[in-house]
Amino acid sequence: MANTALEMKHISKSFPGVMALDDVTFSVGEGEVHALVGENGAGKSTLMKIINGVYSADQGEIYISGKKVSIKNPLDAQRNGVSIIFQEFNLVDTLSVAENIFIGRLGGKKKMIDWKSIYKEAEKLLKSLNYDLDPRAAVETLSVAQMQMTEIAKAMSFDAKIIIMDEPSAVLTDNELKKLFDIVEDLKKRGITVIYISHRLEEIFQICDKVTVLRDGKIIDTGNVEDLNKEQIIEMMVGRKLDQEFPKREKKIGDVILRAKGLRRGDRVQDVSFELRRGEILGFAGLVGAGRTETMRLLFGADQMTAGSIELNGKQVHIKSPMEAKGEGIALLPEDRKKQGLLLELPITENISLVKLKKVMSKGNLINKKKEKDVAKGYFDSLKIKAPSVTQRVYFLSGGNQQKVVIAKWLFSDADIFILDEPTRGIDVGAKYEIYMLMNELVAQGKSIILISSEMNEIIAMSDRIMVMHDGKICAELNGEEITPENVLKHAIN
Amino acid sequence: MGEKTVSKKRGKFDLIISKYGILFVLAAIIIVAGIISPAFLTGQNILNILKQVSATGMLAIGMTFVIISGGVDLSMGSILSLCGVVCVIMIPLVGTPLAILIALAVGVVCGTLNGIFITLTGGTMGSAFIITFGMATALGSLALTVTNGANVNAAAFADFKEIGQGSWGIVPITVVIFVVAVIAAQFVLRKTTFGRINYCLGINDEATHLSGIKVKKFRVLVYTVAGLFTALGAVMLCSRVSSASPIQGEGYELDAIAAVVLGGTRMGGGSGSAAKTVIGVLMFGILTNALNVMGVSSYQQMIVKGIIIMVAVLMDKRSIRVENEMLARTV
Amino acid sequence: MKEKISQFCRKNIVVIGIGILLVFMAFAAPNYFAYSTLTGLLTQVAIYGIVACAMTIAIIGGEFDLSVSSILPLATLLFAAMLPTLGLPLTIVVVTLIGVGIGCINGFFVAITKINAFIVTLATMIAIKGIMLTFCDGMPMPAVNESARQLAMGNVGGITVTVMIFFGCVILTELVLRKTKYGRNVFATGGNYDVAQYAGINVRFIKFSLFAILGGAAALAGTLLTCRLQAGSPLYGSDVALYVVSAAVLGGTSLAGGRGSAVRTLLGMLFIGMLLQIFTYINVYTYMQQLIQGAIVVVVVIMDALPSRKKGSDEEPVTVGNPE
Repeated sequence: MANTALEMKHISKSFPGVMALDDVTFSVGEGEVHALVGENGAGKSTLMKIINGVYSADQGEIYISGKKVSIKNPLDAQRNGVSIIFQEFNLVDTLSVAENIFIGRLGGKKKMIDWKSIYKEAEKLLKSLNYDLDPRAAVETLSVAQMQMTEIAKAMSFDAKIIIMDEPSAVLTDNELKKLFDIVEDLKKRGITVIYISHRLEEIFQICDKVTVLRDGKIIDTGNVEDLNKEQIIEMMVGRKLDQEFPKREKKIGDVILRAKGLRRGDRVQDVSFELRRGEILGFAGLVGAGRTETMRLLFGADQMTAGSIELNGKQVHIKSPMEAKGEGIALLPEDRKKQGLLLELPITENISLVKLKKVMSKGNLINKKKEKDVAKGYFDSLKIKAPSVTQRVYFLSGGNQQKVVIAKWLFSDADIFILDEPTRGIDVGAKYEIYMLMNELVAQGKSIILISSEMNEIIAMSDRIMVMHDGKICAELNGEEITPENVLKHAIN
Repeated sequence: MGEKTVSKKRGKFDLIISKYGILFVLAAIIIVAGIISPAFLTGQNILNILKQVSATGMLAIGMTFVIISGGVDLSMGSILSLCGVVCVIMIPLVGTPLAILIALAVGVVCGTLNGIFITLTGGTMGSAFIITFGMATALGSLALTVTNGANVNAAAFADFKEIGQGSWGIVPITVVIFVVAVIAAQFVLRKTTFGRINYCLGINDEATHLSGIKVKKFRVLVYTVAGLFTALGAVMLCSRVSSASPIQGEGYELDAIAAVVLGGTRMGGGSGSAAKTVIGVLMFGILTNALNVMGVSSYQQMIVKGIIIMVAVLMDKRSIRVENEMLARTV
Repeated sequence: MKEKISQFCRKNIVVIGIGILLVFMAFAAPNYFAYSTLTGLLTQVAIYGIVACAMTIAIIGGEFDLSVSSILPLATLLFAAMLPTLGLPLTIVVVTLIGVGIGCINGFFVAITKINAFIVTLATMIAIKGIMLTFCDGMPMPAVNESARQLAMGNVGGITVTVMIFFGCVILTELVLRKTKYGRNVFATGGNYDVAQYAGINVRFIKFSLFAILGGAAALAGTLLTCRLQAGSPLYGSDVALYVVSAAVLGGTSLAGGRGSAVRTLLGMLFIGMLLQIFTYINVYTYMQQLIQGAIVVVVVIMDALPSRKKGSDEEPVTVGNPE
């Protein structure tokens, strides 16, 4: 076996309430393409951020080419030959490719810049990588794949020995994907180590040598790709989990309440049609960037659809703004609840009443603080929100309790259809269970839920039906027996 | 352990300073001014101060709405000038009451235009700065155009002068108007949908939008209200000095910002109140008066104002940090 | 195709604007087209143009400065006061350095204490105005000096020394922005602060320096203005911030930062200068001119904001946050 390029020993990292990484030991050989897989929240991105110096580990050591290193910030990582290519690129849009490659190091020690030689150098570099890219082009005019090339060229100009790619294929078209594979293949030939993070298992079989599976912050196994098949990897990723993690419920599914037909917006949502029934939890599965959130934003009027129609209770409705969606009884619990769902500086009371201030007003359209407090108190008790009082600012609540406030707010708006976008992200296990209970209660009351989740177990256990999305389209509808992790993954990664 | 308690105590001290520091400063100014010049603390002088601040106070209330919503309005001075000259010019033509109404309408229109332009440019503080900066020039020169650069005399209109110069008992009418305006503003901010949403705009307008609130409509309304308060301030000021000048309002917007920030309403939005602004306005008025009594020229007062704005913002920055540290400890 | 045309128009709006003005004048007043008109125009825009160059650098770096409106008139007064004792060359140097010093104060508060540049420069604008008015007691100060006048008005074929200095500034700015490490770091910092910081660029220094340059440029412009008008006055140059920001943005320098050029700002200056020149030509009132200047800012800023917002909403939700 070749020398190890990167070795991480006994890395642990915890965030308040969550053990993100638990004694992770992980090594990658020189010139190897090593896949790192795991469900969302398994700890992949935390691990990568530690290598890159964005986070520092609570415990553990990092060795690069056998030498112990300390990486405190991204610059340290660069000096040690580690380069990460994130999904949202670290590029300055308004500048040229060449300039982005040499950013911060233009002209070396000289004050004046010799553009000719910079462009020449960039061209040489790009040519040596076999990239067909004009070094003078502005980054904002590039395609995603070309931006990726720019990032790789930047990494190579640093003499990076280890390149980490975070979901590089998520946003690529098929053609671009082929190009990416060529690039990875070529890096490997140059003796560069590539850590390849991806959800798409097929890609791993195509280009990776080894695969490491992470689950719940622990390394499950590392193996040669040749010795494994897809089912084995999925099994390792999903794991065998206790059934009682998800509360059971009695199903009382009624008539169709919402019917979406041919929703469309740009490339992200293409001809999406589905039905939602009363008392149903409809899951939306798919990879990050498959267009699930975008579809729901159309439904909620946060973005405008370019084509398609929505029927509620058999009547066609035109929803052009969140206000109209609210009027039709639709609620959205957004993905990023801190930025989009809550006003963190306001107390629980005011976060709840905001969606329907009319209901806490006394005569003369004036806000009645007592009424407001009573309303909040009602939800505070029924949803078991844990906080010193209803006037506590939401900022200080835990993730789970914050999510409950968002649910309370939409309950208060008398919504019938709840769109939950990643409702348990960043919430610890106990609180998750309570959110699931709440979901069950909602459907028991005859309300309907659309659940977007990237957590396989959650979506499988909670949904009555699952729509799987891929590249902005619905590619499968799974019912009853068909709902298995294997099936969902198969369709999601196409 | 011992160290921790000490730092906790110091934290509490910091918190008190950052919360009530403004009142200490106010007290200090009053005491120093009183010692230097005994004339400062006479009843007449205090009424004078109140009378002097009430026009600035009206603008400061309007500015309070704007700053809470996460914006700023640099065009208030020009709107004041414009409303003032329009009002005084219209009095001989249509009579005092109608002239005042027209002036208020002008203020509302100017404010609404501000609001529309700012909403069009994304509604951030940066866009508010530049748009209202441009509007300040445009509206200021409009005021100059209207009067051809000259002052308009209002000495002949007794009923108009009554507003700014008359009093009920010993209480000047302008002071009454200011107090009513403060109460109304506080009421609107605390009790109405508009007031509540005003805070939400300053905290997080995306979350507000996704709560099904018409963010744009309310943002425009904020500037409309600011325009209305400015116009009221214009009427009061012109009436008090018996004339209108097309450059009368110059610098008033800065006084208003200073008063609001001094009162403890945060630049950047999301918190603050009309009551706080009253403290800021008083402090600003007392400071100006004290500087006058002490014989500091109006030019030197500008230096003091500039420094005060900086210090207030710096103190606020520090108090946010202190508060966060304190709260982080309690969690 | 349609999109390309509209994009082209948006990018070259200032060129198109100048074209329209020229066509208009060709019909309205053919005798406008004289060499003296051109030299007059250049002389008119040259002094503010120096500030415009510095403002272009600042806007590219993602910052903004209102206080030049006070620094410039302060410089005219300081110049008038120092000229008799210090002599011409030394006065220019000293006044410019004082401008740099004031800029450093702005830079400190923006770059180090991280207070919003609008508030910082608003506060210093007021304070400096107060200092200036105290200094001159609100009155203009004469600065009659033949060599100073020569410096400003001396000319070669109608091109005054001031205009040459202005061109020098444009060329220097363009050189710095395109050819030096510093200039490129300004672009990177304004384009994406975090990326620039991660790339090891001293972003704080960059932000700091923007204001120092602006202070120096405003003071230098003040000295030249005094040379020309043979007096210093607290009223000179109070509209400079508005003027140069609209020129820069008209020229295509984006208020979002990371984009722009001094040559294009020069075009923006020429456009506004022509507009004002034409107003005088057709007897539009001075106050009206200011009104239109204010209106230009509003229109230009809205135009600057519109395309980027559109782009955002097509791709992903626009996240709107409050700047500190």
